[in-house]
Amino acid sequence: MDRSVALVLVAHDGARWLPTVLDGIAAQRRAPDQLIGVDTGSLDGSADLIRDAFGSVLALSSSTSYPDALAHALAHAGDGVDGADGPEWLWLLHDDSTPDPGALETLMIAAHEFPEADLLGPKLREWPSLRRLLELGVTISGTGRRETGLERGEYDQGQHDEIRRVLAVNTAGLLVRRSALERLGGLDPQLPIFGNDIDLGWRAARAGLTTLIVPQAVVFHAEAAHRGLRRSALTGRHTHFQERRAALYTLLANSRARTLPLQLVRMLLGSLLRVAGLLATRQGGRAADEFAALVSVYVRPGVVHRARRARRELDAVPPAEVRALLAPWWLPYRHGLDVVGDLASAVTDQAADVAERRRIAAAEADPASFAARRQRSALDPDDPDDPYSEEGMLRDTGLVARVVTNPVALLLALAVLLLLAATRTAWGTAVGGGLTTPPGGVGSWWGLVLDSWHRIGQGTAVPASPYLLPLTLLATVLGGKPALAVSVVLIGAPLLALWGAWRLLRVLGRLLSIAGAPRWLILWGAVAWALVPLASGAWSDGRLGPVVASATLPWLAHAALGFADPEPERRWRAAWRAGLLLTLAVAFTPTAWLICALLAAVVVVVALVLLRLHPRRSIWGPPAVALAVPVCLLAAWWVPALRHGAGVSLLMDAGRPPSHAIAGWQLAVGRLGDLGAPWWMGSALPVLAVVALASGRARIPVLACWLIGVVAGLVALALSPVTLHVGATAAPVGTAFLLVLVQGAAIVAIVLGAQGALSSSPGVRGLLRIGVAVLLAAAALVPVAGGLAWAVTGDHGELGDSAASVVPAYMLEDAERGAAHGVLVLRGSVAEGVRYEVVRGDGITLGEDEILALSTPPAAFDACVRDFVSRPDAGTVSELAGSGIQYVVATSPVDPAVAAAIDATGGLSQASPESRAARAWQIDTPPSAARLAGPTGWLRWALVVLQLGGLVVVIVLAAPSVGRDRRRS
Amino acid sequence: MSRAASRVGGRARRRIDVTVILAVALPLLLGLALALTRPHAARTVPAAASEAPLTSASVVCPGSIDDTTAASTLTIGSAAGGGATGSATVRTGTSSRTVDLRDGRSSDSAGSSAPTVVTGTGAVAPGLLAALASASPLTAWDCTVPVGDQWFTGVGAGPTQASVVELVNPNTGLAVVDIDVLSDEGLLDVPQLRGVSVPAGEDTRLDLGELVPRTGVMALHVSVVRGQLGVAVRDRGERLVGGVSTEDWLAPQPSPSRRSLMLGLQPGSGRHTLTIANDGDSQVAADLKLVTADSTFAPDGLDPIQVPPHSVVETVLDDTLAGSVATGAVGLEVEADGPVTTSLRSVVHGDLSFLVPGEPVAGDTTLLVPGGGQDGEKTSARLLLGGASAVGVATVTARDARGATLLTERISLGPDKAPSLDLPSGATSVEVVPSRTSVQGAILVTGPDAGSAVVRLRELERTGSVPHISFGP
Repeated sequence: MDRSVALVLVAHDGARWLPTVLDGIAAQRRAPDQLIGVDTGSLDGSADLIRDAFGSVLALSSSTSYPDALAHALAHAGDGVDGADGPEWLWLLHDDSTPDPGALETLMIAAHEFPEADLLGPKLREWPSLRRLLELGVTISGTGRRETGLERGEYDQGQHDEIRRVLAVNTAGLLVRRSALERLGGLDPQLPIFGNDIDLGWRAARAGLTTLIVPQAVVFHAEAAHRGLRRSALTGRHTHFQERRAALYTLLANSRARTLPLQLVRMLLGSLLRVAGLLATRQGGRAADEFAALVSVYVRPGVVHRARRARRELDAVPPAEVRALLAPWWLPYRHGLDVVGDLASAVTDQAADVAERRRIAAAEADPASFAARRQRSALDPDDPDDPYSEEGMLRDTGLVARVVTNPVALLLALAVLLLLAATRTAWGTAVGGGLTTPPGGVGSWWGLVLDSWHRIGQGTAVPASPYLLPLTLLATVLGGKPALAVSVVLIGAPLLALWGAWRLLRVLGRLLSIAGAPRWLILWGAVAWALVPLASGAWSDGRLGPVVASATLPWLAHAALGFADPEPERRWRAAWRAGLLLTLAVAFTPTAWLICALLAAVVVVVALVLLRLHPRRSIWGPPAVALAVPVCLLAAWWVPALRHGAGVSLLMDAGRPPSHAIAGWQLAVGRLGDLGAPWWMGSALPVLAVVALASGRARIPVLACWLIGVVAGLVALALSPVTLHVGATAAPVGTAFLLVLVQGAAIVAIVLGAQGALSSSPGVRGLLRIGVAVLLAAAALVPVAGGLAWAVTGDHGELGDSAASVVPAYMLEDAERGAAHGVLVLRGSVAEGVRYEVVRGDGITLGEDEILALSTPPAAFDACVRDFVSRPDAGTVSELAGSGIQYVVATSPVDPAVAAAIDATGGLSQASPESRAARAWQIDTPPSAARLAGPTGWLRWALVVLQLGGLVVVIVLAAPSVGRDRRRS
Repeated sequence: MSRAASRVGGRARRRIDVTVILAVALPLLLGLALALTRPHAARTVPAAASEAPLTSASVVCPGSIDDTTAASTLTIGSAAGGGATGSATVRTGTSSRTVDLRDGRSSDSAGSSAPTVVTGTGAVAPGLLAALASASPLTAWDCTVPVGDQWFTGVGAGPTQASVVELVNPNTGLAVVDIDVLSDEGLLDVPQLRGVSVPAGEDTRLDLGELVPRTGVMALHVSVVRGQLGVAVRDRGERLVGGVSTEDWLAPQPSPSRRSLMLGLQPGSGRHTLTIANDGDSQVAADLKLVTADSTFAPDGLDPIQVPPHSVVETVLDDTLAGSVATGAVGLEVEADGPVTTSLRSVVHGDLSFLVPGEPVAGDTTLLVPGGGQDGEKTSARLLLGGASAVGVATVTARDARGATLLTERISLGPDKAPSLDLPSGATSVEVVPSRTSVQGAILVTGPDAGSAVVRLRELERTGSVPHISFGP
């Protein structure tokens, strides 16, 4: 222990911590041989404190960086100490780091024990908690992340207490051999505050020096600069910028020459990805810092180049030895997975319980209120039935045991399995009914979404249906497979409906009473809801509109409950979330907007007039925003649709037109036209919903459900006389969303009514009461058990794995060669009118069918087809070829007059039709696609940018707040 | 109880009242709304076709019966109206020529043993007329536009009567025809007559004597399943003893009907055979009536003819038509209790002729007089009108080949009457304009040696149906 040590304490506005730090220094069992105090222009009297303790202080300007301060201290090492060489060791401390009394002693013992060690660092624990571990040596990952190898907030229980070699140690508490520090040239002045320790350690490792972590030595560190507790001229307000800049600089300055180009690209892409991620989690300031750090490093290659040259001169050991000290390559990916997991759990947890928050807010507003009393009693830890009580926690032993011993969980699992079995038709390709064959690749969907002019039919500017964008995004995520996306939607929708309804009913139950609805009741409601698309027949007819609407509605309703959140900030978050979900619902069932706007108006009027709420912007604003979001995000659809004569699409559900006419009684029993399960199975729901009104305790929420039903019924009534003219078809308005809404409202009313009836103290317990209860339970089982059984037997509708095509495969093969090789398909007869459509490319695929149905071909082409089917001649035939028609197909039954007229015409050859009853011809003239071209509108691009950009912004605004993760310096 | 407490109680009562009222009112309101919600199911809007003048028309003539071409005549005319002029293409085999046409005029040329297709475009497409006639034997054929579905009743495939079906494809694409053969023993299965294809621009002759060799009368139901075909049936009668043979065309009937009027009857000695075909699923009873200029009556002693389902019945009317009761009869009417097709086959003085029911004509129509321009001295032509649905008049105008009017006459029409009018020599076309009634009619051409041929009035193809076109599935 004969070697001398100089303590270097650098302070800047550290008066808050300095007394403790100085006490800690004074308490050292092995006192430093020299005390060097450095103050960099503190304004809080830090210099005086140090001068009082050390006798002197090096006063430097406030712009002095830590490396400069250390350099100054190094220059003064040995001043006033006996022995010309000065101290052999330097012990560095920050003004916010206080050493344990044995810290220096332990470090010196280690230095003695490991003579090869040149840098030794203590274990850093959090100050002021003193128990949590901060660092035991650090290293850096490939993305520049500072890696400590510790869990966040890990307590020190001696679990990491072995002396080992590390890449670097924090400068707070660092014991460094003075000669080594001088050889390394001190700290890099390019790293004024953050990251200079890693750089120092990395350089030391390259120079063949050894850095050890000595966990037995303990220093407590407040991390004032990193946590933003202290702002200096050097850190400024942008701590994140400094940290990222330091990380990028350190990586570039130290990485091997061979990997430098790769590293440059990786860091560029990685930083941009991080910017996107930070923006997506509404951390704009950090994103700007991230980007600024990237720019500041990349625009000054000279600085990095000089640093690399200086480091090359130090190299003494093979790179592999240094690489072993760096973080493993896979670490960033694991962090990425962690972030995704955190985000997912935040998304599912967000606004999980508006009921809870309302109750807490009510309790806080008036501690004597009923809400507060109920809350206190409910949170009574002695309540053995409370799953959150300590006893409840103890009883919960493992997921498997909980599931197996819980009949509700077992039934839920059974329901999921049965739903999966019921949707087995969609495993693989699902087409038929209202679902047209999806295209082969997602590229054609992107084309439909982005292009202003589609070369479908005779060319049209009618925009793609709005539901195509979510399907396209899903298909893109699924590897560009539209058929898979459709299958995922069909299989996933009932499950999502189940999940969403479960969450919705749970929260609604808690709004009614603190204990919430019984699980088995929630299970009943959720399964009944999940069965709506299946039992209605929408699923087996391939009607994506009601299928997706039924999956979206519970989530939308859940999000809309956020409008009642006591916190305005959460109400706004709920607005964006509800807006996003409403956009999805509107995309598949456009009438959803109309009914939701009416419901919002009703709710706002009720809130303002009946509940006498002050008309603040934070009350009426969120519903207004939620309603405005679909209008903005879907502008790329409805604006061009109105401009190009496809306004009727604003009232059409997703799926091949025409949609089914839903009569009033079918809305009540939840049947889409004459499809679906036997109607009597569905009749139990309206009956039970009426019975639910008898529940006195829950009458007001049940009445609210009925009010929703009434508004839906009135909208259905108002829309029923409207007829949409789509080509030759007169179609009813798509009211599938109303069906889903009415069914959903009935289910909620029944669950709430049952909950109210169960929770009310029974006045009379008699046979009659039991009998009624059994009868009602039996009635409630009919739609659920019957519906599940009906759905599982399967094979109910037209949905299957292949669709009948009227166009032979060889024609489609030809058609795929280019837009010119169109197929004119004729239907009908001379007497009743001839309908035609034009098939191009890989046939009329999902998305194209609706565009085609809504488009109007040029009048000249109409006239050409009219001439062709009535009085064709060579001119008509060549006109057809010029309009991009190569084949003509007349579907069965073929009008002999039409067929004979075409047969009599020159310029056509007989072709093989798909069936014997059909007819087909090939036009001998080579076809041309010249007339199919159309203009490209700038408006389209503006709307698409608005749509995609708006989508990102809304998702960001709707996303939950993610906790800022802290990194240490 | 304080006043405040009682107020609370009162308020609570009032609130319960409101919710109870709502609990009754809302379900009622919703029920009412749903009961009234009855949207129309999606449907395809039917749209009627419109009629527009033809812009192109082709009529098909079979090869002439007389192999000595000089004896047959092809007459081409136009009844386009409005003084329309234009030209028609006449294609025979591989050769083609152009004929100038003018409304009301006609022109003769030599017939050919090969089929001929006459195509008129533009203004002369509506009302394009062509007829094929021969003097020895006396035959006449009204060339029409190809028809998809038609009946030929009374064909034979035996030693004394053999029929040949002649199929002519006027177009550039393949045509396919299915021929059902109905016999006195029911529907015959003749695979060679199913899916008979005729290549573009070619013609095919199907000799029933080779394909369905059997005695007994038959009826053919000819359905063109692909393309267009001109279909003609020529019938040949052989007298086994003496070796005399005679030949004529058997005209088609568009569809079976309950009432069939055959005009152009020539009562007298000879062989008269009535054939009735019933393609229905139930037996049909048919009554015979004779039609004279003033009346229609059922002769005594004729029982109703029973025609079994999917069968053909042949009835010999020699005695009836040879007797005095038939004197003055110009037509024969078959009235059945189900739709039937009929024809009367007569062999008089060695000349074969067929009477086939015509179709009622409601509008202005024109018929070429077979051989009218050629042998005016040798043959005489008579216009017979009958089957009027009501009392009315028909204005008859006879013209010569240059369009000059030779005769204009108003003929009174009435139900059960069959007035007639002798056409002047040299008349090549006759225009009939019925008024206030529809009428059936025929031109009976009789030769110097008592042979005869009949052509029937028909609606002219002046317009075509133009369907309403809409875009969509």
